Amino acid sequence: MRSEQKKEPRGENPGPGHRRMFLRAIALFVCAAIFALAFSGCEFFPTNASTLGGNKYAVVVGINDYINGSDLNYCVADAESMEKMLEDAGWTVNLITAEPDEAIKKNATKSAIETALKSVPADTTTFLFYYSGHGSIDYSDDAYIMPSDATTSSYSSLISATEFSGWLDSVTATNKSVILDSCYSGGFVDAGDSVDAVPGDSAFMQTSTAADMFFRFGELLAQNAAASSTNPSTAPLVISAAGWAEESAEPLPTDNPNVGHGFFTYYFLDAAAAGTNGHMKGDSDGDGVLSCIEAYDYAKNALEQANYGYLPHITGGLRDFALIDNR
Amino acid sequence: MEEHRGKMKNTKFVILMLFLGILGAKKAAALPAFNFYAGFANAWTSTSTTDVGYHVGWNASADVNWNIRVLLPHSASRIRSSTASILISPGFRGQFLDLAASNWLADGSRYRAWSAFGLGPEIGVGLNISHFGISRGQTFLLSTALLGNVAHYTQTSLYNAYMSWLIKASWDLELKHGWAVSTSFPVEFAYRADGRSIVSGLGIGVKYAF
Repeated sequence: MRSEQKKEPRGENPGPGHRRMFLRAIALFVCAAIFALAFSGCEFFPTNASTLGGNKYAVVVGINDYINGSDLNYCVADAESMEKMLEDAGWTVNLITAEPDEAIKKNATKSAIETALKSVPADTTTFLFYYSGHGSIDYSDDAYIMPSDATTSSYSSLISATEFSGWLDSVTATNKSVILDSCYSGGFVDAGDSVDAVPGDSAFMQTSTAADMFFRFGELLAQNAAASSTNPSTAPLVISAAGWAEESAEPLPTDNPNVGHGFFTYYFLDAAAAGTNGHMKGDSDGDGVLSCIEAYDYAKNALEQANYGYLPHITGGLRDFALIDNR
Repeated sequence: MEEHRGKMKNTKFVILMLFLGILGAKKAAALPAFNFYAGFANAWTSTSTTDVGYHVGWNASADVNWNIRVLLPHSASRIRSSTASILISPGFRGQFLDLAASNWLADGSRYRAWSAFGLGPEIGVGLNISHFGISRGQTFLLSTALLGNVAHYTQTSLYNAYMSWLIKASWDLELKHGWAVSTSFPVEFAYRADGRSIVSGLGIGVKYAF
């Protein structure tokens, strides 16, 4: 009889104990749903693609010998090492070099570079252009790279950033990247949606801090708005060895014969070398893939420490591309 | 025309109910409150021509709000011995996001890692109840904020800025002396140059309300 009195009639207002259980059940359900989503590998949380597919094609140019200008020592070595690094990673490489005393190898003329860019296979998914040689700048601060047949008397014999960009448009690849180890190559780099805290003439100008950038909010926001129509995320990713007003350098053979490369390329290549932990030295996230930004960052930090008076630069935009997949 | 009149009727009804609710309120108060959260963050980035990439990272945020509390009349609460009040909570939000590079996409690309500091006005509407299920007071709040963000592409020297909308659902469980533990579920829509990112996460933190 007592037990009947204590019993709550069904369908009426439940007591605090029931409400507590109800709330706990809801909390458990929410937690279970979150963990199920997180660990089920569903499309909300996609993982790395198992293979980075598509054809990878590169045009690699190194010019030691200039028909009408001063020669360089290690640009061909830069290009050949870059070719090896890329071929080992599954790229198809078109190597173009100009070496001294071998007229037959003076292949890196302006027309040869243009032809190479316009002959990139149409089924290429990822394209890379690498250049090591002289660079130049005119009185309007327009940047150029110098083919082996360039003449100092005429800028039209050089390859301007605008001209090069037009040639690159003919490449139909989805992902395009450009790496330039030459003086003033920062003139080829468009920060896109961003502002570069490192000026292109860092020897004279101070690098901006994060706090400086905070007070340039209006300028940054305007840059972001302008970039919404120029599509920097699908534009080519360009990495330059130096700023628009800086000279990149290679060591003199007598000074440092062990380097054997332009300083920037030396460190860029070193990013792909195996470190003590078995990973590539530049693979900072340890995922087995060396990206353009990782290699750039590795080279930039090394050059900063070495204090050669110039720093690499990179374009803005949301995307990054794989250079080497060692998984 | 009929449809238009119907909408007018609905709007008038909502305004009337709000007015009656405030008239019937037992007490109104406005006091400041501070929230601090930290937790993990997820983001999905895409452009109009590229696939969606998924980032993981963390976030930390601080909200300073002015809680306008309208205590509902006892009869308005259907639960015996419980009290309920409506909260209107204008204020400011500051947050920091740090997101790793996205997963690798099949075409050999991924989206860059970035970090961003955002600041902007916020407004929330919620419900504070006590003695519902558990003895401690609880607050459910739905907020929205418009944030200006200064962002940095990780591993580069590039900085940019973007605007974002944030919608946040939060739940506070009151402790003692104005302190509460708080859980928030923010979802942020970031307008980043020629792409978009949706950032979500789960933040756990503390709240102090005067």
